[in-house]
Amino acid sequence: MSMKLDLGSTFIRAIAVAVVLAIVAAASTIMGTYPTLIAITIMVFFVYSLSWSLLANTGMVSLGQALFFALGAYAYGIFAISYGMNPIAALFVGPVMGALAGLAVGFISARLRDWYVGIFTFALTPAGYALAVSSQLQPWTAGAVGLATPRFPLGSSLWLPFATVLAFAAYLVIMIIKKRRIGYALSAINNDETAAGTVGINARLYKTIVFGISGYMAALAGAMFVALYTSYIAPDYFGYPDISYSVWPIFYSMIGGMGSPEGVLLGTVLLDPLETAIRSWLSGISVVGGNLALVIFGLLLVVVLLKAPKGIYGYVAKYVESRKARARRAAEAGTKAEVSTGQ
Amino acid sequence: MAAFLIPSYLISTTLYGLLFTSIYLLLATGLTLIFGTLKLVNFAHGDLMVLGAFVAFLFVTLEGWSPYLAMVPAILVIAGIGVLIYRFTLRPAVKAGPVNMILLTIGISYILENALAYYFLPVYRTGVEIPSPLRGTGILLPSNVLLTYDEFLTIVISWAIMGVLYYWLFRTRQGIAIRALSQNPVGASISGIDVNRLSYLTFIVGSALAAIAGTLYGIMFTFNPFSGILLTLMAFAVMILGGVGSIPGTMVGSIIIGFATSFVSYYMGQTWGEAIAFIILAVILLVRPSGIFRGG
Repeated sequence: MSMKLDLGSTFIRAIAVAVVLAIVAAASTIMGTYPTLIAITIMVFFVYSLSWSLLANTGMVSLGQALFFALGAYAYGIFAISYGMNPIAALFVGPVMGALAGLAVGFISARLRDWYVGIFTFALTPAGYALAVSSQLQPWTAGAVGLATPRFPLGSSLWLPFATVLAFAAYLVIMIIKKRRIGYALSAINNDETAAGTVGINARLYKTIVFGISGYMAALAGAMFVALYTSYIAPDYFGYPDISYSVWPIFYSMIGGMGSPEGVLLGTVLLDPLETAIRSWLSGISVVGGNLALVIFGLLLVVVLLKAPKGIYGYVAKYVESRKARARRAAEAGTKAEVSTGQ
Repeated sequence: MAAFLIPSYLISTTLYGLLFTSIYLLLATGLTLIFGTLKLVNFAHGDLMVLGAFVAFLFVTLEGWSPYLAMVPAILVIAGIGVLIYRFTLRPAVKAGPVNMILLTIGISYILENALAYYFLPVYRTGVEIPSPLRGTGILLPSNVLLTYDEFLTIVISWAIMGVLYYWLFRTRQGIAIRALSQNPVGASISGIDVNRLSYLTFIVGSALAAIAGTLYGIMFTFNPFSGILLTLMAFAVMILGGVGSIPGTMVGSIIIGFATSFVSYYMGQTWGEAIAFIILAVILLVRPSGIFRGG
């Protein structure tokens, strides 16, 4: 699954991502309240999709990423309501629960081969749902009814800029991981775990750590989703019985191109508004229009997986590569020609 | 735990354990057959089962068929859908590696669930059960526990099908060829086995087993378009517990998961009854990922 899709240096890529995020934020702010809300979901799902692709690029397919997303959402809500924590603090402290869960899940997942990780993470979501609706935890989670959260203390005009900064921070974290020792270790593990072991890379340790980081990011996305968008936490955030919340990050990452964070950004920026538009249009036609929209998006995922497994970004990178190679060949041919005529 | 000792509770819980075992057995056998032979992890298996139940439901309610006869069109439709899925999505993706395969079957599961919801929810709203003319009649067991004819038939049908399947896999040339294919595809191909044809056959048999399991499940329990996930997970728990690719292992796995589900549901509530399968799964993955019987 490993792939190298580099369009320019790290610095230029980071600037480009910052510019894209800023444009999304500025344009939607000018367009009005509703587009601003959509832009907030773009930022949330970008963070969420990054958390998924971080694992996927280490060879671990999480089919239950919603577990961490929902844990972050609930931890944020419970810390803010039951323990009276400042919501801004809760937004960052709550996801620690996601990190802890990530370390625990990672500890087991690191010992499992490819598809077992998928099943294991998948099987955790009904358990999370069961806990959220259980009568023992009802005083904190409000059971199946869901939890309404207090208003986020920042002025509402600051919500989108705040989300944008967090999204860019998440991107930087991914880039820093990539450029550090851990990043090279992870990519070695992904290429060949046994070979990585022979050069002294502790694959299990790195995989556990990366699950912890991913758990924090997914939980942060969940907390952001509640704090800045819904103000409400429902048990179905666990991706059960409807698996949507676990599927979204897969969807954005795979269609955009999970091999690079820029691909994930592309997928989220293009698909999140498109999905919202199609869903609200079809929901206007029929009560189950939302389901029809999900069928369409499921088909899109299947087609992309079959026809363009590296996503849109993979396509673009391949195109640019081939252009560069052609230019290089042409230049070489040109110098040769000059040399020969010179003689 | 005094309730545990009351004979009527004990008998009816055992009965439910047998029922769960029979249904999980059919479902997980289909899954393990497809995985063992084609090395394909099918996350849409439980959704095929629910779709089978829904096809049977339509034949019973709209055409007035007997639920046991409606199993036939359910098998045909699901086997057909299975072949289409295999031909147009999974087979072309074999080269793409396990990660893409897993995501593909998740995508298919998502499509099947929402497509079913699109037709199902406006008409049937929450959930349905396949109506059976035999409902309420049965054999009276000791302590006043009624073993309904539906329950009896479910248990008999699933174990009979397992018997036939076992005979097919272990006593006929075709079954032996499928087992050879699961052990070594290249070797099987060299010895003149038509790998392509047998791959389709395996997927058809696996899907048909899901349809049978679905119909029986639908007669016993309420289902809705999203019931498939839990069933897929149960089947995976059974498969991993027993040892992937092993039929005897699947039998042992389904007995353990079936009875654990039934007893825990009865004494600790349904939520825990469902969760126990995943607790067992997590423990097995941690201590012995190859399952009780090593797959082969």
